[in-house]
Amino acid sequence: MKADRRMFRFGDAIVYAVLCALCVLLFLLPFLQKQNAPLLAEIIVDGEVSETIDLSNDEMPVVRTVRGCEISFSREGVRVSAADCPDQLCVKTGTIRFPGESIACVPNRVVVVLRRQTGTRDPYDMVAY
Amino acid sequence: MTQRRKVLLSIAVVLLAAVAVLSVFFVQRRKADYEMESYQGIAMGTIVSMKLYDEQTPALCKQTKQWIDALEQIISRRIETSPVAALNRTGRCKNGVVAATVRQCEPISAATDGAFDLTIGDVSALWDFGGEHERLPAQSEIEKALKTVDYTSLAADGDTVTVNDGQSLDLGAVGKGLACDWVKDALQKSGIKGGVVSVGGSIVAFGSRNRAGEPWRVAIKHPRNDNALLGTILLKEGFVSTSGDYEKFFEQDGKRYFHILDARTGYPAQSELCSVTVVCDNGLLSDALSTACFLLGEEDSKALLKTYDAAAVFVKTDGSISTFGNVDFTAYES
Repeated sequence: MKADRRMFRFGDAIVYAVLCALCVLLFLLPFLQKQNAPLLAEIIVDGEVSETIDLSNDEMPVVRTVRGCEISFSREGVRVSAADCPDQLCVKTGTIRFPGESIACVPNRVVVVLRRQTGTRDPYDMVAY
Repeated sequence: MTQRRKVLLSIAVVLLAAVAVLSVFFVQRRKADYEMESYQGIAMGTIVSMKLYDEQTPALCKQTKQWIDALEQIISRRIETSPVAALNRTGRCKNGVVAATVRQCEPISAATDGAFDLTIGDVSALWDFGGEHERLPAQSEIEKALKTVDYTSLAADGDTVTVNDGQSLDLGAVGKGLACDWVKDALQKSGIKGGVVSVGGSIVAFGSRNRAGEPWRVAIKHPRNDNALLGTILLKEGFVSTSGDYEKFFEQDGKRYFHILDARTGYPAQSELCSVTVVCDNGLLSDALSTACFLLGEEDSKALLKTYDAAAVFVKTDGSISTFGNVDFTAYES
């Protein structure tokens, strides 16, 4: 009789604890899934995406030449290693490493931009510079 | 356990689970982004990036790019048919956009005692930062070019703008911010839920990406470390512009020469800063103010920022970071 008056028994507490843990997991799951999404480099020519390269892929190309721009890829980022444009601003930009960063070769109308996989959210929306 | 208690416990468990699942569903739905359309391309001789959000994919990026192209046709001094090119050739042009820009910039030129001056065109052309003929000009060349620099000769009467003979208007310091103003006006009229657009690193953000109304997160490039970002600004709506000594520069004899020129001297700004980011409610002003603040230095910038109810993040050459005004900035560890 004494035991029956208790609101919670040990077994009940476990059921509630498991339920709470599941709820917390449900909340966190979408964020946990998106933490380490691969970095992608998009090569854009005349405003259209001409190629997307996964920088986490071991078989990614080391270099691509697009119009007059020689674009070099590594796990750390992307740079324009050589270009035939007169101002060389794209080469001077150096290596870009973060989602949202980009390099433009205005004379050749070529842009390289880094982003995460579609459906994942970066820690920021845009980079001011 | 009694039968009655077992039934009550079961009902409680089922209800709790249902509430939990529904909560997760609604929270996730509120936080789920609207449909996004993104774009990266070139306009106004710089990179344009857009992320536009609406219930259905907005399909407005190409239109937005065309709006920016249209603005370039008005304000570029390199496009022969533009009103600004006409002004530089003939000393006169009639255009409402150019006139309004001149009027908005005049008080900032006055506040900086002429350090910020839209008639700096001839001096900028000598240095040609980011161009094919980037170089350190001779002192005599700079002195000669400086004779054409005087914002007080620039006049806007209605839609008509006039300058003195030989003066050259250069809207490079405000063009990207002005483009952000155009973009915001046009996109808001289109009725989309929200968007964030960068024109060469000057940013406009409006509306929201989701039903929860989460603020936009604008990262700032680190002025001295290519391997890191400086930090993030959270903003519900507004314009962000950065001026730094790292974007267009060259080094000669151990000295760094960069593109933010003091119109009083014809040489790069001599302040203790290497980066200033300004946040305010107008694109043209955020662009103009970031340049002006860089020229003035942190302390002398504060009164100007206060005038326009603007906020700023300052980075000094010694690496120290400070903020002024109402800005939600978090620095990253580097």
